[in-house]
This record gives sequence, structure tokens and C-alpha cells, in this order.
Amino acid sequence: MNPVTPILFRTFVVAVLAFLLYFTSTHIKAISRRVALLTLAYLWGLLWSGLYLAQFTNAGYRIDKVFVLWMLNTFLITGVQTYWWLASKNKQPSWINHMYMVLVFVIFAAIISEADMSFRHLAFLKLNRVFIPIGHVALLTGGGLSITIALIITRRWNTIVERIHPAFPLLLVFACVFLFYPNVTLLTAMVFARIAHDVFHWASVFLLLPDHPYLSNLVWEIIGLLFKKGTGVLIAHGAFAILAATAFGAFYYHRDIPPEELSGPERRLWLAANMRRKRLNMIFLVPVFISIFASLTHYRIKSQAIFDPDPVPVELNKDGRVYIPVKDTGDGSMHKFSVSIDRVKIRFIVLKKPDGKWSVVLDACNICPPQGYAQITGALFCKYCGTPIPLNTVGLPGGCNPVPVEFHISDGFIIVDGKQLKNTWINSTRGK
Amino acid sequence: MKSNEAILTVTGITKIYGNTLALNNVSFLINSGEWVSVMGPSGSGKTTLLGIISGIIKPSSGKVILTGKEITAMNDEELSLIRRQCIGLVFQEYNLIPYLTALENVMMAQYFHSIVDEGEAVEVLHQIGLAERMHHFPAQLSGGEQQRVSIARAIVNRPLLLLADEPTGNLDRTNAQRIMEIFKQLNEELGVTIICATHDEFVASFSHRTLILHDGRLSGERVR
Repeated sequence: MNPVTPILFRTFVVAVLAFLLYFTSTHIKAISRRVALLTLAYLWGLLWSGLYLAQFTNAGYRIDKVFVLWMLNTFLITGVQTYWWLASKNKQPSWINHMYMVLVFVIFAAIISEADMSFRHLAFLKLNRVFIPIGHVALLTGGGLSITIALIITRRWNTIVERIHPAFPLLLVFACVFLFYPNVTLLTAMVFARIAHDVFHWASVFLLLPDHPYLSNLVWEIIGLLFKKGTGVLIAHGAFAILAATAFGAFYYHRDIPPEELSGPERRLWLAANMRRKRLNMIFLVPVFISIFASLTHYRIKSQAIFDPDPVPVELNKDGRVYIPVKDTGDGSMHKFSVSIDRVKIRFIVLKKPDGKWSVVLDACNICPPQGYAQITGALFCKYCGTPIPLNTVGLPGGCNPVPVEFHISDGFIIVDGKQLKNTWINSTRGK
Repeated sequence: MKSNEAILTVTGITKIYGNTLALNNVSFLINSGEWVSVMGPSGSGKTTLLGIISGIIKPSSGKVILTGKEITAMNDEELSLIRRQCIGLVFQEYNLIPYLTALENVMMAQYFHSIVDEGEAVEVLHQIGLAERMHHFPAQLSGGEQQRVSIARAIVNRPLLLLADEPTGNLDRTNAQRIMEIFKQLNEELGVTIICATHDEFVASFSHRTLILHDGRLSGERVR
């Protein structure tokens, strides 16, 4: 799988979500135009972010960064919307509204820092040795414009905003986090696993039952499942889906009783408005569930397709050379090794290429920080910049290729000179 | 139920169809709870005037203000909303949906207004004396009964203004009398403002005031 595929996949999902959001909203009676406008405001963040990146960073392929911006813009619009919603409930903004806005901006500032770190790693900025607080500039400009648009919408079409419960757009934002931030998903998975473990453990403690010695291996294996990557992700997604479904149930089946003073057509109008409000909120759950599904699918595809083994530690021989048995490395997959020479820890890759030739290369290139390579179908790819390196070109020097190392094969061993390996590593990773 | 509060203000309405001047600078004011007839011979502009008041026809010039809102400046969406919530329409040809029963025809108006409520629709049909015929299709009803169904449909959403265009045009005197009694009940008991276009003096005699149209001009006014 090409490394661009996950990005394209997510782009496709967002396009489907946008279409569904628009399509669903324009096909529900009496809320069409206004909802479409609100939807456009949400998607506007995406457009703006894309334009910004295309113009200033010349890094269009980093679409995931665009989505980070879009998500933040959406978050801000939701924040303003919630503020307005709370204000409409209380007739005038109360301290709760102000506190809510402070919370929104605190979270916003925290995410800015994260996004800014990501931007600083863009090769374009590093090569030109320019310091631009690009994340801050981008997000503050986008955020400011988003707030302005949100304010215009809330002032002009206040009634529609009042009808949207803030919980539903927020669910959408969280679903997008699942979709675009695999690390957050893993973290959430760990949190769920930890909670499950702690509940069990502390329940035993309170019952004065020492749990560890008395539990069979089988029980521990079952508990251990919670901490496995795949299971944890599934549990995190499942828990979020249950949360969204519960919100749906609680909101949709909550029986709203019209005020007693209303009767006849006025009562029917109240009931119809209430029904429309519920339908409007339900729109947000469609993309929420699609995001969860897409995120799980994405995770599954990714975990199956990428081969990224841990380096196998090897020792330097007395003659100052490293010996790797040929028979262990000829399966067509990359084999990573690590060796420590004069306290310098070096990682290198041994690969039998599809053309039958052998290559020994560093797990680093001359450009990026040495985060190493992983293997996908037909190529290695740089875990830092995502550049794919076709398997048959592994061993060629220059650019994003992994740095080649001199070697020879003798008596069933691939033999690499330790001194030369160390020097090549130091030269390639200096200053990164 | 009449009050001095204006529910409808028509100012300088003119409507031109091609080379034909259908309405020429018509102005009048109607108070809340009033029952006004618009009389005039065929082609005098009665139907055009009712069409403009209901927002179905756009005037060439002039203003119509209903409950403080200028409907001549509204877009289609806003007009639909105000028609659904403020105006009831009764036509000479009844315009009932032939494949729906009397009850379903009434409930259809509820559907477009908000949501349906069968009990409420039955109650309205009961009020106009059609409770026993509510499951009949329009073709199974007499002209008078069909017109009563169309009135039930027009009033089920309790409109502020009922516009009736020749409501008794296809009916005999007995049925016309019955329809007028229903209008009287709506006007006196529920305070519905009625504007009724007719060329029949008998129908006009029930109203508080009669506006007389002639060749698109307001040529006179009679107060009962």
C-alpha cells in the first residue's frame, strides 16, 4: 500500500461526510437552506486551511495537516455555537457561558502547540532555514475568521443555531479526532484498558481478595487482551459508538411535553418545531458513525499492511565486523538490526530485493531525522516524511533513499565493516 | 369581535397582465375580526386582489401589509410560511384532493402547517356538521358538503385571515345560506377576519362592509 493511500482514504471519507451532511440537510423539510449554510461554515475551515497550506508551505501532500486545521476550525465554530446556545437558554450570557469559552480557548491553545510542532517538521521550512511560527499564524488567522463567520451565522440565523444541541457537533469533532489522530485513538484505548484493569483490581482490593495469585492464567490472558493494540482500539471505538448511540437514544426518545397553555394549531407548531430540532441534531450522528467505521477500517488496513519490525540487536565481532546469516534474511522482507559501536547506536537494514540482489542500508537517510523506514507492498517508506522507496532501488545513494553501506557476502554471511558502518551513520545523522 | 386594530393594509396595488390592467391603484384597510365582501362583475379584479393578498400573485406595484409584515416584499419561503400559519383559502371549485377522504383532506392542511392531529381534524369537521361524512371521498359528497370540507381545511389551522373566492358560486341558495352561517360562526365566535369575493348580493349581505371593484378600480364602499 502506498503511504499516500491512508491520506487519500481519509480525504475520501471527509468528502463523503461533507456530501452526506449537505445532502441530508437539504432533504429535510423546512431546514434546508439554513442548515446548508451552517454546514458550509463547518466545511469552510477545510477550504481555508487547504488554500493556506497550498499557498504558503508548498506542501499540498501533507493533507493530514489541513485536516488538523479544519478540525480546529470546526471546534471553534462549535465553541461559539455552544456559547450562543447556552446564552439563548439563559436569555443572556452567564458566567457558565464565559467559563465555557475560556475552556474552549484553553483547549485550542493546547492543540495549537501540538500543531505548531508538526509544522516545524515540514521539510520545506527546514531546508530554507526560516523560522515562521506557521502553526500559530495559520491557526490564529483561521480561528479568527472562523469565529467571525460563526458570529455572523449565529446573529443572522440565530434560531437555527438554537435548535442544534452542542453535544452533537462535539461528538462529530471527537469522531474526527479518532479518524485523523491514530495516536489519540491508541491513548484512548489505553485509558479504557487501564480503567477496566483498575476497576477489577480495586474491586478485589476492597473485597480483601488478593487477586493476583488466585487468578488463573486464562483470566490474565483475557485481561491482557484489553491491553493489546487492536482490542484496545476496538474497545475505544466501541465505547465512543455506545456513547453516541446513548446520546441519540436519550435525545430522540426523550418525551417533550408542550406547554399547557398551548392548544390546537399552536400546540402542533410546537411539536413540529421540536421534531425538526431533533432531526436536525440527528444529522450530526450520521458522520459520527461513518467516522468511527472509517477510523476502524483505516486502522485495520494500516495495521495489516505496514511491516515495521523492531531492530534485532547484534554484536560486533572481534575482527571489527558484523556478521548476519544470509539464510535468516532472504525472505524478501526487510530485516532491521541494531549494533552499538563505541557507544554509538546504529540501526541498519538488510534486504533481499525482488531482483534477487542484496542490499545493506542504514535505517536513515541524508535528509530526514533518523526515524527509520517501514515496509509496505513493493516499497520501503520513510516514517518521517512518507516518501516511498521502491524495493529495487534500495541501495542506491542520494536524497530520500536509505544510505547504502558497503558489504560483501562470504560463507553464508553478510559481512559489514563496523568502522565504516559507524562513520556512515555519524555522517548521515549529524545535526538532526 | 371587531377591533380597531388593522390586520391588513393594502396600499396602491396595481397589477398589469400584458396589456390588461387587472387592478389599478387599489388601497384599503381591514381591521381584525372584520368581515369584508369584495363585489364586482366578472373580470373586475376580485380574484387577482385575493391572489395578491394571499401572496400567490405578485403585484406590479404597491404594498400589502398583513399583521405588520409586508408580504409583497417576502420571498417564496416566507410567503409559504405566512400562508400556512396566517391565511386560510376557500375556492369556488373546492380544490379538494380526490383520492383523499374528507378527513384526510383536512389533515393534509395540518401536515403542511405542522403535524397532523386526527382528533382535532375530526372536531373541526364535527363543528361544520360533517362528522358523519368524514370518511367519504370528495366524489361521494355533494357540492355543499365539498365546500364545507374545504372550509374545514381552511380553518383547521385557525388562520387570522380567511380568504374566500366565490365560495357559494357553485351552490344553491340553501347550501349558500349554510356556508354563510358557518362563516358567521367563525367570524363571531372565533374572531376570524374574512374577505369574501362574490358577485352575489345575498352573500355580501352577511358582511360588515362591502368593497366594490369595477374595472380594477375601487369604485365604492358600503357599510352595513
